[in-house]
Amino acid sequence: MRWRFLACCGMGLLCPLAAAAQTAPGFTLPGLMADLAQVRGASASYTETKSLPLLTTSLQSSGTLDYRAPDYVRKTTTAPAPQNFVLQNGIVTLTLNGQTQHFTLAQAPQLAGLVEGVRATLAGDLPALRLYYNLSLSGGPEHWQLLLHPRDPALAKMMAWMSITGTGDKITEIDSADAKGGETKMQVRETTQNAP
Amino acid sequence: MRRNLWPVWLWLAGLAFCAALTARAHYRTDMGDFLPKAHSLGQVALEAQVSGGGAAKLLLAGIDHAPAPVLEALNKNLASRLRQSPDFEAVLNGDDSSLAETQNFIWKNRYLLSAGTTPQCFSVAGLHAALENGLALLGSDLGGVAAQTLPADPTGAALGLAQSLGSANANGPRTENGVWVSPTGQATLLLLRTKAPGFDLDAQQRAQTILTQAFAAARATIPGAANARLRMTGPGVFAVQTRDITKRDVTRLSLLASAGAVLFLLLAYRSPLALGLGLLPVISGALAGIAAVSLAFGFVHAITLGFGITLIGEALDYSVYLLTQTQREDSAKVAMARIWPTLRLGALTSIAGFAAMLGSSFTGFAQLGLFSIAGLVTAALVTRFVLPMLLPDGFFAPGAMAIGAPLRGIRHHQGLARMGLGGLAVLALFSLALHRGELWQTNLLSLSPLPPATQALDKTLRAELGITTPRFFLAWRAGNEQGALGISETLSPILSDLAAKGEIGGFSLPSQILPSQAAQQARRAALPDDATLRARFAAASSGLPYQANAFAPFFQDVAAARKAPLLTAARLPPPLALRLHAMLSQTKTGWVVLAPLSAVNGAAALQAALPPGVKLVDLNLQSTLLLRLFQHEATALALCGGVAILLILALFLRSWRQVARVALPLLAAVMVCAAALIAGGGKLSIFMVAGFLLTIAVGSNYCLFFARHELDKAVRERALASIMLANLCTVAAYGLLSLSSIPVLHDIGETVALGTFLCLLFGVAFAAPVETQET
Repeated sequence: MRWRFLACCGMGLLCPLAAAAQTAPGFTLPGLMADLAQVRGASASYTETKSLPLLTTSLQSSGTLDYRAPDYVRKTTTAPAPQNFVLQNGIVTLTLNGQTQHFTLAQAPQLAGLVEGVRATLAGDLPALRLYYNLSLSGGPEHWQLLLHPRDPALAKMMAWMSITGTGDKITEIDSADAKGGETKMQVRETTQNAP
Repeated sequence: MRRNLWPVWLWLAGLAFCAALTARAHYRTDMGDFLPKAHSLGQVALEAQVSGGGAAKLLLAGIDHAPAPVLEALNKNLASRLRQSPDFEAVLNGDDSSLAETQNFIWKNRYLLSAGTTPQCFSVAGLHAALENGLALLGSDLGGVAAQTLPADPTGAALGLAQSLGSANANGPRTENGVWVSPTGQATLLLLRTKAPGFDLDAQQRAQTILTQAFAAARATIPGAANARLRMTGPGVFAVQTRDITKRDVTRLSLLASAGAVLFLLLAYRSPLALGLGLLPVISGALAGIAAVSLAFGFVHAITLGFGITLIGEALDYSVYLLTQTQREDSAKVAMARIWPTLRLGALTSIAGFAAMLGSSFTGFAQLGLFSIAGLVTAALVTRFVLPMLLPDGFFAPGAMAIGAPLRGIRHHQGLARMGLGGLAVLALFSLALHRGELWQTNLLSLSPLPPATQALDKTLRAELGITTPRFFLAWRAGNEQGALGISETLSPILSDLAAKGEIGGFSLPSQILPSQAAQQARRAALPDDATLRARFAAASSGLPYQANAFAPFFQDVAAARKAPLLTAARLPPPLALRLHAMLSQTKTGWVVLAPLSAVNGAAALQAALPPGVKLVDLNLQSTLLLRLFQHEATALALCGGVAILLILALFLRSWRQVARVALPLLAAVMVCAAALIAGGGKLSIFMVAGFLLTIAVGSNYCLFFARHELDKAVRERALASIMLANLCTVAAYGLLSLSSIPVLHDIGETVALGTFLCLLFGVAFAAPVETQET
């Protein structure tokens, strides 16, 4: 169902378009992906700011993020209201207002696109990213920005673009915009990382 | 020579009457009709599952044997062709447009569909609570969804519906590029619903032909699709296949089996006229059987027909006894006068045996009992009164004596035969007594005439399409559709409450898809007029950070919903109609609802919360109960039949010695036969039990003839020859029937061929008096 496919918009991806259109010499997308693929797991705290055309003010939230290679992602919101988003083995479990819902990525291709944008970047899974998005990378190893544009028009109706900013193999910001002018910015501060 | 021909005229008149009834009889193939008549709601539920019930119009199709892109293209091409055919009500294949149609329907009618459409919901307080909730939702991970729908649906009517209507789809197939694919990705899937009712087999067959032709046409237009394959199942496919297989096997094999018997008869009689006359009792019996069943039950089941005709195959023996035992010197009438007491007793014992079946609660067995009794009575009477008149004077069977030779041989070495066969019987007794494990076939499906491969395909496609059969249902009846939906609505809050407490898992109710007219009217009346709504909304949203004009779509939609027509079953989009009809169906006596529950953790709490008239049905339990009934009946049938036969024998023979002489060889033969069937790796089916009854019925005739004290050697040897000939015909005919793929014909064929042969051996060894000296 349509509203479900959207369910993940909030995965929190947000962001600004920093727009360096060029990459530093020797800094390539496959190279960055290979670096990211080395990361076996990471934990972070985040703050998210959402601005929607529907509202006169923006909404703030914060919580923690956990990632374990290659396909476990958890986003736990602690403020203003508790909620939990878990992606594991292709199944999304969302706990909100005391209710738990499950979605299977296989049954909802558009939801899969949204979730895969973040998951595949974390895992350095270039083929998976390219399945859903046109990619452009800018900056250098110390400060890079990966821009994702949906290839599937159905996905594009839900998300205009997503931008992932990072330093080395750490992600610092995930921003996204929906087609109706809503924008989400998520600042990520990595707390621990377990490299191999 | 003047003959009093009245029996012939009477017979011809009766024959014409039966033939007329036979031509007009209704024949059914539905397994459900073979099972006990459903009385309780639980039985209704089980029957619905066995016979397709509300799903009787479903066709499940899978396309495989080609690369994935070809399968997808084929599927879409096929679906678009079928959507143009007037024979299909619904063509579902997971395409985006069907999905969109359903979503649109739910979205447009959200206020009529949602139980949350109440006056409170549209009060200032209700709207304020909804808007605050919306704000929380916007900030959550569901914010993206909420932002899209909130302006038109701030009360969250559609979101709630997505949850209640969507949950049942969780088992559905996965969609790839707008097409359903199987879990392995090797096949693409379609789910079709025919316009014609499931019982209209001709229309079902037409729909299947259209499907096959459309597939062939689609395959021709798509490159690389040459090897692709279409497979289909569903109640309609089953029904048509059953009909075809039954037709084919019953006609072809019966013909072949008859040919086998005819060959031996020709050898003995050496007269086509005698052969033809000899078949008259069987033919008359079959017609009388069909007529009797049709009159008593209103329809004849295909299994009854196939099986029944084999059961009265015994009647062929009657004419064999008469024709073979007629000697050159005397006429058929004289021979008949001599053998009639034995023949009559043989027929009576058979009838007593089959009478036990009349009491069966399995409609099919009751039909069989009646069929056999009517058939045998008719055949015996035709043999007694009509056949002797029609046989030409001076007829006798010149080839019979040679056929009887083996039996004469055994009689000459009776002591040896008794030792060997006695040993065999003891061995059989031990093997049966020591047998570990289930003796009886307990799979209901094994009764079905469908080949196992067809049943397996159905299981696969059902699983792939996510059409699982839930174990638990809530079942209730109502006089009309609205009553059924009303009960569904009273259940809704009770079940939600139980689900929240974890007593049950999920549930589906017909009123979630189609609320009653009363509920819809109340919901429509709960929507305020535009001015009132705007005023309340302004009050409700003050102090919240929403943009002023954000909710214009909401006012528009509520105004439209106030004027929208109420929903009816006919207006539902196909996927929803499909789900409604799976739960809600009209029967002859009213409306029945079977609402599936996905899990039952606290059956006691559930039972206690249910209003009167609503029953919790456990399908596993129902099916176990049915199987127990079935085993119980199988045993009871055999016992009652056996006792009835003993009583008849005792009544007529008036000597326990004589009874034992006839009955013990039969018992031994059946025991050896059962032991052999089980040793062959099988379990005993209910058809085999009926086969034993027939074996005893036929075998008792052998033993009765064997046991006669004939002083005249020529008469005695003619009697031996007639028994041998009768058995040869039986073994040939039933041996051929055992080649059938239809369980009923296979089982009966195997049992009777082996059983009667054993009866022959045990009979000649034990029932016949010891030959002390040649007279």
